[in-house]
Amino acid sequence: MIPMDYDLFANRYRRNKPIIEMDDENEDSINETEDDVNGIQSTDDFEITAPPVEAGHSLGAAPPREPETPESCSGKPSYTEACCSRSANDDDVTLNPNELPVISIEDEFNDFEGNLNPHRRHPNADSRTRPAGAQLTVRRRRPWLWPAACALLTIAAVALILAARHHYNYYYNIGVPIAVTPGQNIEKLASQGRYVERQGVTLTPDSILGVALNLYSLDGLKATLQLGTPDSTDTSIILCSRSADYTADLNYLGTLVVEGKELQSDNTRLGYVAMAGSNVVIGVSRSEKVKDYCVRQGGSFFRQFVLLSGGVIPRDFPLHGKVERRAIGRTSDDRLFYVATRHKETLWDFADALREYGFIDAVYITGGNSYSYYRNSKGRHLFIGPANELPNPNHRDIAPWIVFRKSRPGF
Amino acid sequence: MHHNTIPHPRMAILKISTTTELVCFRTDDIVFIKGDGNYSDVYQSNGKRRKLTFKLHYFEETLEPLTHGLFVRVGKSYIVNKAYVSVINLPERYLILDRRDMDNAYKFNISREALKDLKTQMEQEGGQA
Repeated sequence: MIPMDYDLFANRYRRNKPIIEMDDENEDSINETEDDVNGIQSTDDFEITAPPVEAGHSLGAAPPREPETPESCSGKPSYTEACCSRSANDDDVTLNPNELPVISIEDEFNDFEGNLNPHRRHPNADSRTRPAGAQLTVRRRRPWLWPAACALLTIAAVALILAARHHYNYYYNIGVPIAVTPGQNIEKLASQGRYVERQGVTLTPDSILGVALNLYSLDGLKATLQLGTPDSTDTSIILCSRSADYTADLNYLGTLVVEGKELQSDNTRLGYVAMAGSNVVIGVSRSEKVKDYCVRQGGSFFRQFVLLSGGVIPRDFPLHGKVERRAIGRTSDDRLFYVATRHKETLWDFADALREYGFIDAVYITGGNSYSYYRNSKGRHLFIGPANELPNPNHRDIAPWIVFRKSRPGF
Repeated sequence: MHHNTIPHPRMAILKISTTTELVCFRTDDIVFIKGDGNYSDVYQSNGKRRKLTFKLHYFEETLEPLTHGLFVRVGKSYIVNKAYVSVINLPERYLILDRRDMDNAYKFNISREALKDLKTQMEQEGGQA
């Protein structure tokens, strides 16, 4: 008989259900409720009671098995095999007495409202298998994660490689070796400068590979850029020449900095001439580090085509035809020369002559037959090249000029 | 791949695999498990029971960390799902497992000490089994 308090409990839920009594000594017994309407009775120690089976649903004539729900076992059994009284042996798991079972746990799939859906299994439901007693871990199985991650990594790697290749080709793989890095040139600009006993320009006419050259050594001179034609009566000017190019609509070609003021930013031309303090350097790089240094120091900077870099001639030149050519070159002993051809030459012949003469780096100077002059050791004003005409009057205040003066006036 | 320990599993499928058979249980359908020496009987809320030929402590070791105390060992022969605990009576020394969706209620005659431990444990959990 059930205790009185459980009667109250059963009445509260208005349920009439059989009570199966069990004890801790492994003795099962089944009692029925007082008003057992289902007629459930126990048969042996391991038998489970259930509602009666409808006619036609006996064990031998069971219909096809359907998904099992709690309702199917309460009052309207859809199949009798699972809900009817049966012996314990029907459900036994036959196991070798020495065999240990493998017990695994698999999560149930939750629907979108967060409720458990017992009839719906997520195809990627978490699954965990372990030997009995081992620590369990959850493995969040996301089959799309690895392919997506691999795809993203591949895309990122390809993008990185392309960016690195573009960066390398743009800044470093410029077709010629780099003899002096921008950092080294900045150090030169920041140094005190090399002491020379004699300041000034020395002309050395020479000829090599059929190219007649006038080589003007620039010893102990400092340089500046100025807009507008230099005054020929200014005796402090030792040499002046055109420098950067500009277009007919007065736009400068290539980066141009005049006394710390940046007038144009364009690094398509790789050669550069930088001036700061009493130092002048030339170099080849797409980097703007030297230009930035000149801006900070109030110096000057312009870009032009490369004629030589590390003793190597570029693959091709943007200028063709034969005209008088000029350049600023650096020799292996780090001396600077202003070089002008005495005759019309192609740019390649000019560069080849410079290379053969022993120059390491050389930067093109525009205005092969433009007005320019120098002063010899006696202070005499002498024109460079055949032309002695002034620049186009409309461009006089536009054209940038490179002007060399003595770094130590009076000597 | 992310691994971590299970914090609070809501529901799980308990799979028991042997060389000859695979048996699956929803953990929230398990009312209690009764040990009988080398056998264990799993009683489910739909009234079914399945006998398995291995010892009760395998269930105890498996279910305890998974369900965070939802299943508790009561006495020497039972593992009880606390979600089904209906009555704990210490003077009469019995425990009743029942829920609305069950066809049968189960009454256990268990020692007073084991019932007291269960009662204390469920009181400390604030009724959340």
